[in-house]
Amino acid sequence: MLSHSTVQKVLDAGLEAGADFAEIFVEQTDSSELGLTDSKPSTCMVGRLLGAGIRLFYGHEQVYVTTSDLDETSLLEAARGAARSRGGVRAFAAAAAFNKTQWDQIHRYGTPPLQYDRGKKLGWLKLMDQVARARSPWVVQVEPLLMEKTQNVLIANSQGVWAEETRHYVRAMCAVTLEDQGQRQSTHELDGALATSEYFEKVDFAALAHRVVDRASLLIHADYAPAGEMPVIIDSGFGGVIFHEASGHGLETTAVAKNASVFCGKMGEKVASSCVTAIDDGTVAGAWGSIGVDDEGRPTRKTVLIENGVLKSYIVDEMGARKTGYAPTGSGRRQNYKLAPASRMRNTYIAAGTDRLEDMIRDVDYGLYAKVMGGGSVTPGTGEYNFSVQEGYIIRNGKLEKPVKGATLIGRGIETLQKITRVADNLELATGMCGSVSGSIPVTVGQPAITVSSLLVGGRDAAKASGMGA
Amino acid sequence: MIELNFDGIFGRVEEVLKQEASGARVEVELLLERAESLSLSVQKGALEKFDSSRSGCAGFRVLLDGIAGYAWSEDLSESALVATARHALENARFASQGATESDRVELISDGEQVREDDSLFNESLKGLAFEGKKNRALELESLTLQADPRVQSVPYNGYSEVESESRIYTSRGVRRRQRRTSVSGSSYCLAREGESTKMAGDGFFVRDSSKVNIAEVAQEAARRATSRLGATVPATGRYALVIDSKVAGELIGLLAGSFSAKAVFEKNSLLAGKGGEQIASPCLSLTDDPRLPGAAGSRSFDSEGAVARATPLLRDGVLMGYLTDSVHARKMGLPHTASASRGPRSELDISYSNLVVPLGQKSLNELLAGQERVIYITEFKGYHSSYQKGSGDFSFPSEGEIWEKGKRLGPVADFVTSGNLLELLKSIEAVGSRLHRPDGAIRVPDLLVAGAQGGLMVAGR
Repeated sequence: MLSHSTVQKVLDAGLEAGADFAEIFVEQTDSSELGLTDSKPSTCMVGRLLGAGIRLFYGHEQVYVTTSDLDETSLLEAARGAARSRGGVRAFAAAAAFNKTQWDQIHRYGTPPLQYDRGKKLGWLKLMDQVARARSPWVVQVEPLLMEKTQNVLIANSQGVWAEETRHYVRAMCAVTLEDQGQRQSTHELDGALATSEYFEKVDFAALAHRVVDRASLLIHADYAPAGEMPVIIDSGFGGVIFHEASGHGLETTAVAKNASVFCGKMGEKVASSCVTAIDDGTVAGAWGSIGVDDEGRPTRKTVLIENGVLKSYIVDEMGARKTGYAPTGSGRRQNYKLAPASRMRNTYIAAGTDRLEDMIRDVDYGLYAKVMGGGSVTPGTGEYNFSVQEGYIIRNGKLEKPVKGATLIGRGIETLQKITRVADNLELATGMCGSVSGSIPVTVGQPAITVSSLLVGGRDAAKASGMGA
Repeated sequence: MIELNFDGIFGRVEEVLKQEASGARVEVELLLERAESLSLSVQKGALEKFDSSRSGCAGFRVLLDGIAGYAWSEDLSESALVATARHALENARFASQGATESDRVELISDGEQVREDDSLFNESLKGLAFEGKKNRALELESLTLQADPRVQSVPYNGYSEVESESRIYTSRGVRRRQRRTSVSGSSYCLAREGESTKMAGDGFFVRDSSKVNIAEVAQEAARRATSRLGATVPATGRYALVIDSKVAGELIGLLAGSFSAKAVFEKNSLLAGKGGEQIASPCLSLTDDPRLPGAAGSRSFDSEGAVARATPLLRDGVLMGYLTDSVHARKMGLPHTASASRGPRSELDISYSNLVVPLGQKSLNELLAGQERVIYITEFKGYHSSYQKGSGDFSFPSEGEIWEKGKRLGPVADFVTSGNLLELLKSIEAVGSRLHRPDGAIRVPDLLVAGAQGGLMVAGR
């Protein structure tokens, strides 16, 4: 994307005023979105993101400048501007000679999105639309969407790192709205991977459309969830958002280095129930949250965060490493060149246990089975998290009863980790987007089904609340 | 900002597309945005992060026989812009498959001259040297720490300045330009007392750099965090609520998309088919007003270039109408409210500018004192996940204070407030006389919510 010579000059210019580290991140990303509304093409968009971010470190201080102009003069001006803004004593040391970063290319790509047959894509969109509309008379809107992105990045720094990667992302979504007797229900389903358009050939679009309509049909006339504390079984796949929110963000050095995490100073301590082993892994082949190198040019890797309940590692980026002393984990990530990287999750999951979901349900007298989770958020400084349940069921005397909607689960990270009493054998992963200091990035969450002995369920059914003695 | 000859480039793009359209009717709209920004954050009295950016983006909407295709690029060279416009034409061809006569639209004509809104741009940004900006960031942290000894740290803080320019060029001769400046900042602090730890903060937004009041924001950030210390969990049950002005604005923001005629047309609005109906309490009125001087959402023209004007949305609780662009005004036979909204990277949509609820008569204390038992809601969390936009149902993790007979009993936390947004609007019993931020894009005073059922369901102890 840029020559060694230009990059060398830019890094040297950045170091001119005494920075002890300089880095450039150059990006060209082509994106494409195709979608239907009212059974007709509605979203039809392509775009090109182009620019560079130059980052300088002065000890624990960071300067970051960006420009969408990639000619050498503009880049040098940006680098010198960054150096001037900080000022300081000139202690210039030239950037080291570059060594190309090597890593295992485990992700398999085919035709770039803009070169793949659009007719086929239109066919898949229409298939989702037709299948969804045929599935229920209550369907009033179907909005299928295919999103693709090719991100070319070059990362080089004054320590001699030179890394280049092309990442292809594909994602399919089907959103539906149902209406019946004045009641409305909207929901959506997603599938995605680090892959090119050929991935869509393997997606069962009809099944995806069935799933989303069936869930909305189930919920449209469902009762509201009860309110109060109770045992909760959170099923596999997107249920992993509980670990992502309850613990993952608090393990990022972005929070730890500020002493704004409940996990600060707890390395080597028991922070979770013994049945919990949690992993953040950037190396899962083709997974939505995977990468080859991170956005700081370091090969990504698999990081065991918690092993049998004991805290083993934080999620560490370059600046986090400087501030905390822990080694980087290949986890420096950013949405695009406009944002400096930060320590972020990749594919994060609780490892499989040995229990069976049926047995776990059988052992609950009264509680909530959260089959499909929605999103959530956390305050890392206090560990307070929340997330919503898209599809839930009451458990009574060890059996599933009717579905309920409108439940939100709240709690605190470490407390919840310690209340996990059982972990099933049905590990699954699910795709999501995670928003934080360095923007919105693709991540995978995952877990097998888990039992949390007690969580506060926010619902709006007062009768159930008193009935269960809350 | 550097002046580039986009008039000339636009003319050449039009020529290329006309040649490639093989006799079909082609209209072109170009949105151009450029911005320069800086932001600073500090930790423990030292600069932690300084970000500076210069960006630009061009977005084309090309109508091929009235059907739209879109493409955008951050490469603003002439060759890249021509290639981007060709992509938009290709996308319009693709979108034409299955299109019917009623789907065809056209650009608006340049019927009236529109002046740039001078209140949105202020030269004061240039007047403050870098050291002055850095000092503001440092003060934001130090004054927050000094405001209360229980404030332990300010992990998340920032001071930002942005200068931007947006332009519109169309085949119908529309030429628009708007420059904007903004200065914003925030301080989120961690407060501790005994075993209780709380995090909260506050922020500001102004156009004029000389109007920044760092001390006020720091005080409020510290007050918000420390006032939550020692919170207890309220008992599960139904409570009357006084919803803080800031939170009330966030709730109205959740409903804002439903006022869009596009959302109504595409069956994605909670307010579809409710025009002329009483959808809220008679004490609630709401106007979309794009001409408020200097406000965050103000604009003198919309994204199609039409002259912006105020639109009443609720009058005494009755839904007065929807927000429209030229496309949906024509399709649905509605008044054109000039509410088109798009950036270079997005498709044509409809959005509010500034949403304003007129002030009521009662102070916050009067709202709280008038109830036997009430929870004063100071924060709802999880808007993106715990609100169902299809139904209006919500279950928000919440923080607040519990009051009885006009007396504050203490802070409450770790509870969930559940209900339905439309039902909540009908249960508003009074609108307060206080605004959290008088310069924001959504201006809603404190609200008292009780209603026939006696309030909303709270899940706690």
